Amino acid sequence: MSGWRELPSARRDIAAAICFQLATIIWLCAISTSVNSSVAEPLPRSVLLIDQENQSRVWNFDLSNALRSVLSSAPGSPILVYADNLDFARFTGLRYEEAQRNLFREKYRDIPIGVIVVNGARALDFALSLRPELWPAVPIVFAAVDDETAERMRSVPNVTGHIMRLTLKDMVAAARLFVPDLKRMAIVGDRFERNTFFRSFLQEFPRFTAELEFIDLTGLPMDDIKRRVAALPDDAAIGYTTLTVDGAGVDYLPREAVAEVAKVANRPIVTNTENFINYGAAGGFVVSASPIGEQAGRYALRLLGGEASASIPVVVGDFSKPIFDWRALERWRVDESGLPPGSELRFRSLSTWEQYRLPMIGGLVALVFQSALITWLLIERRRRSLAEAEASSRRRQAVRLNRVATATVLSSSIAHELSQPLGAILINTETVQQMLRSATPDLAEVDEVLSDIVRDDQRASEILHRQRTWLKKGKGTELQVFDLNDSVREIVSVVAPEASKRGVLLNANRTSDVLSVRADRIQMQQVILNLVMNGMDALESCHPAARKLTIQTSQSAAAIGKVTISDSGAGIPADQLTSIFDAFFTTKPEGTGLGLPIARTIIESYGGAIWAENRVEGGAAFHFTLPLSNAHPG
Amino acid sequence: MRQRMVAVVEDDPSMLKSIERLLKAHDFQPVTFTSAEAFLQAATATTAACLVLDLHLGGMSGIELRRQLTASGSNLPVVFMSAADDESVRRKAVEAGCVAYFRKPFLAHHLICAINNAVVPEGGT
Repeated sequence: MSGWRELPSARRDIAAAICFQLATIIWLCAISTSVNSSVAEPLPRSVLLIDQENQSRVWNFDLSNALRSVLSSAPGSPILVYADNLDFARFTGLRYEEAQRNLFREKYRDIPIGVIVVNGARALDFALSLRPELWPAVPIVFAAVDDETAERMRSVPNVTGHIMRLTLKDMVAAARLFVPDLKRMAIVGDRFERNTFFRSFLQEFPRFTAELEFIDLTGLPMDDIKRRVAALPDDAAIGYTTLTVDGAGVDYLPREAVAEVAKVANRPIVTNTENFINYGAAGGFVVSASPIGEQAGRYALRLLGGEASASIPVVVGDFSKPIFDWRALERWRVDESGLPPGSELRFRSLSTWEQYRLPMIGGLVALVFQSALITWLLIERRRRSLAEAEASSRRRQAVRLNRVATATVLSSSIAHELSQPLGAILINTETVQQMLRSATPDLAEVDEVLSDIVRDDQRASEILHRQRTWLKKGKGTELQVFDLNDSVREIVSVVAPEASKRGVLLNANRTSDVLSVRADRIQMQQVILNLVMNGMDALESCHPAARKLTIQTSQSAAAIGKVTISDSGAGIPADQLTSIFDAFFTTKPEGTGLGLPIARTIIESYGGAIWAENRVEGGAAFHFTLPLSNAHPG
Repeated sequence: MRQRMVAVVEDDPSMLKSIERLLKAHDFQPVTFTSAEAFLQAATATTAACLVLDLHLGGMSGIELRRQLTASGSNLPVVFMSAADDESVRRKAVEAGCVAYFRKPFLAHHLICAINNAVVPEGGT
């Protein structure tokens, strides 16, 4: 700034003037911008809700909740909500009003409020009266007022909101749904002069005089109301507006009042308020508080966001909805299809079927499936037990038939055997005849001969008995303890004739050990016989001089007895060593294929094993083992 | 006496006893054996007038014995007895040579007849 002092004085004056002008301009600009920004500055983020009554009414409660929820879910910094109830329904008088005003003055003196939301026309008037001194520039939103009140607000600046229209028209329309030939309507509620939202009905009544007769029960004491509604004619319905105080001056919560009336009413009650349907009203085109609270909240947000209230118009809110009690529809025989589209039905008493349809279907399906499963299982069980019985019967039959089939071998053996005693008997008989021809028969000797005849006869019958035993059905297995060697010996003697007939050299090598087993004798004989006959059949194709069949018994392990039947035949093809034990496997044209399977069945039933192998020296060997018994053979 | 000696080879005890008694009752002199081996060992072939031989013996069979006798040049007449009713055995027996073949049971006097026929020609009385 050393340059400033060197300037000539005339130029100094001009420079100072220019500086002063610039400063003024700058200052003015600053002022104007600050003025502009104070105009553009946002409202405080706070809302004051003033309720005309109190929160005990469900209506007010729902409304304020809906409002709060809209405000709390708004983006941006949180909105503070203040709430106050005027309780004007219960407390009246100028003194009370003034006391309330004083309270507000004290309370909200230094509280910045962004928007005021009022619930009720009287709350609106209250707020307006206090606004100049407490909230000069604060916009007021009325949640829902009647048409008349809204009209009054036209000229009031910085006020907006929604109109709630409750119409007699809606009420009559609802009544007609329940009573198609409606001729009368009884109106129950507060006197219309006091009834803010229903005051408009007074204008509407004249429009219906041609069709309907209105029975005015407003302003009556509750007892009278109840008496009248209990005795209405069949062409009547009841319209319930809202009752807060009856003709006798008794205070009511509107929902309690409708409940009491509904207890005795003999005709359907229609209403314009949603909550009353929960307390006995049959239905109607009803408003509910939540949408109203929401709409008020949205208006408040728009105002908080900076919109001028003049640009937010007052509109009639679309708050009503057709809602009906399903039970009343049933009671008054209203056809659901006659209801307006979009009707909501409450208290639908679903039959157990409808309510639990899916679980019931599920349960039924499960039940049916289970029953089917159980039935199927029972059927299967029965089938199986029948099959088992049949299988074991068949097995027994097959075993027996195998015996019958091999009985031919036995019978040739028996024929052979019987021929001996019979032959002896015949000779002895003739001998006796010869002896008796003599002059002096030796009767002692005759007696001896006759004894021999008797003995041979017994021998013959034993042989027959054995054949019979072999062939008989038998109840089951008869277990005995006997020496396997004996069975081998018996079979050898049985097949000896057959073997010699076929030119088969039969060898029996019996161990000196006693092979004591506990089994059915006949079954053992059957097994050995089947194996021996099998072996002999294998030798058919052999050279006559080379037919050799050997039966060998031994004790193969600590308590195991073993019998081996080997032949000098052609042997068994390696791939058939196990399949030969399968039922009906046979290579013989006249074979039954049952001998080996039956032998296996029998041996395995005693816990033994049976198998076949080819011998190194040629031919086949069949082995079977049986567990030895501790007991001694009988 | 030699003419009346009849050898019997039979392993069934009842048959053996009854034939022995029958022969005695008809004044023959029976000599009994229960096996072909025992008969050969006793060398009765040379002393007996007739041989009653069962075909189904344990050990050496009746036919085998008959063949041995034929091979050794014996002209001992043989009467066969058989317990089994087998055509092939009968054929073999007949081929081997016999004076009679009986299937058990048979009538005693048929046996006596056969033995008499076999014995008398040799006796010559």
